[in-house]
Amino acid sequence: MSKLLLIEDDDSVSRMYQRLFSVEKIEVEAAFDGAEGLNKARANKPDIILLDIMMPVINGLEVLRQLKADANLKSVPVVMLTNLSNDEDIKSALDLGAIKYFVKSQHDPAVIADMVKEVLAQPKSET
Amino acid sequence: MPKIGLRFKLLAFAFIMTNLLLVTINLVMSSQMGFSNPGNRLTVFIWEIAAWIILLLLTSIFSGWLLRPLRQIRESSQRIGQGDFNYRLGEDDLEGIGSSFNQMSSKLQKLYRGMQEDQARLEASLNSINVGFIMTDATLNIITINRTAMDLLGKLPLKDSAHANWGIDLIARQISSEVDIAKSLRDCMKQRQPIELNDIAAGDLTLNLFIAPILAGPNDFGTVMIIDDITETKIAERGKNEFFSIASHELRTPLTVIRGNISIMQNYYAKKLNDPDLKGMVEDMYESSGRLIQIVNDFLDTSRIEQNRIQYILEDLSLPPLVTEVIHELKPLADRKKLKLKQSIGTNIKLVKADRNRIKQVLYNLIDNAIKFTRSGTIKVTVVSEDGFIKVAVKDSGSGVAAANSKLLFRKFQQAGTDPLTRDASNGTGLGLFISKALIDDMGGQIYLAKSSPKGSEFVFTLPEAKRITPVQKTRDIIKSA
Repeated sequence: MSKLLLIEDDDSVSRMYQRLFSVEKIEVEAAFDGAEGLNKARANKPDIILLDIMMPVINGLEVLRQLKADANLKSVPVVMLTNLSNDEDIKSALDLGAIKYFVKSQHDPAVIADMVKEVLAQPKSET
Repeated sequence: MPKIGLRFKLLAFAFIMTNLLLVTINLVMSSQMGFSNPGNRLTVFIWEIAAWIILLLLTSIFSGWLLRPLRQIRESSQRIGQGDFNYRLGEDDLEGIGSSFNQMSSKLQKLYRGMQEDQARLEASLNSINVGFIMTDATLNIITINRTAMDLLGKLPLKDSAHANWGIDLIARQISSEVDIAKSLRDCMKQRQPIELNDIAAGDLTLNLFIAPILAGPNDFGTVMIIDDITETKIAERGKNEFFSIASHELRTPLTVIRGNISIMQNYYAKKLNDPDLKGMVEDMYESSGRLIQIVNDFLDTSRIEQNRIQYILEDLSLPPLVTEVIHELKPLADRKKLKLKQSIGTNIKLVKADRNRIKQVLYNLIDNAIKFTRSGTIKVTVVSEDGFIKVAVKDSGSGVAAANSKLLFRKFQQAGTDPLTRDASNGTGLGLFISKALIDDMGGQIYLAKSSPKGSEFVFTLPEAKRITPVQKTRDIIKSA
């Protein structure tokens, strides 16, 4: 079964996506801040990471930077999920290596699930 | 020295007349008495001298007597010239000249007092208004400066240590070293037109300056400068915008949870929602939460527009597929109202340089409005190429826009066809067109109501073809796509 790492600090939002992926039969591991997320990623390499930008301790862009700097983890596709729609952040995230960017309030979870399934279906690249 | 001049003239006159008189007497007497007798000649000579002396004396006295009132008039004029209107001439001198003169004096006194009162009123008025007022003459010397202006200038950090001799150049530099205010004063006199200088940063203050020429006939007469301290207004505006920004972000998270969970229920737990009532309620919750999210988005967009903080990701875009996409998304809404939703794409539609999401937003706004305001019939979206622009028209078969409201359509919170008390809350925030206009304007296009009749309205927006140079955007930032 595919593994998804969800790094999201809001409880209810995290629960919602966990619910979503469990009915979609995708294994979910949840982290509630950037540091926890990095630890869990290193301990248990996921097939895809869903990453929130606005988080305490370390924000999402910094987590992304560290993920891409990690030799083992840099090949894991990262999708940014956030409710901010600052275009500077979009550009930064995409520049840093995120493959997609979603504004949570704008997309139904089903759409997110489809997107995740699509990414997981792609052959893993070794870049 | 008029006194001596007049006296001299009188004396000279007397002297000449006397001599003429004596010559005549001489001739008469010599013809009668004969001048052969030396005794007679001596007598005559002595009489001549005596007469001459007497006449001189008389003339002296007479001229003094004549000149005194004239001297008094001169003295009085000098006094009036110096502002002392109280000097009066004696009425018995000089035939009524005295009394005319006194009348003139008292009239002048009344006029002058009237002027002083007017001046006092003007000064009181100028000092009571809460904007700074500076009046200069044609060479930019300050004629009047009111208390508010002095206070404002006092609030600014001193750039020159001397306060004395604050000419307008000094004041202008004191207000702002970046904007050449003195130049604007000269320009406005030259062009004979008022000039507005807005949002001038002056120390901790933000000022609006309004400069107008004072014109008297064809000549420059001076300038008037109004200084308006808008610092507090700016702070309030910024505060309001930040409030909307923060509130909108905070609202999005719980809204996401509500709508997302409902969507999961509908998509994955449909079997458990078999009960039609339950299904209906869930459907309503989904729709309402969607509307809430849209309202929050509108507020956020509006506050960003007001703060000039919208950023665009521009790319070469083909409009027809976007139109198809939006129509597809809105079809369920149209179907529910039994409205037909059609599209008609012209030939050879070139690409435009625009932000994909924002164009979708505008299309959504226009087509959604058309659906909202049409009770029955058809909504048609056309895309054509016209004079280097791509023109998108949304035509509906609603009841049109009332003429009175058409001017207000693209302003905030306006809903065409309703007065404030009967606004239909289900029709959205009234911000849609305001936002659409800001977006289209920024991307170099135009948006307008092309037609309106009781049979329906037609909204149009145009965008320049990608090959054309996009006009310079205002102060909004643009990000070009990678």
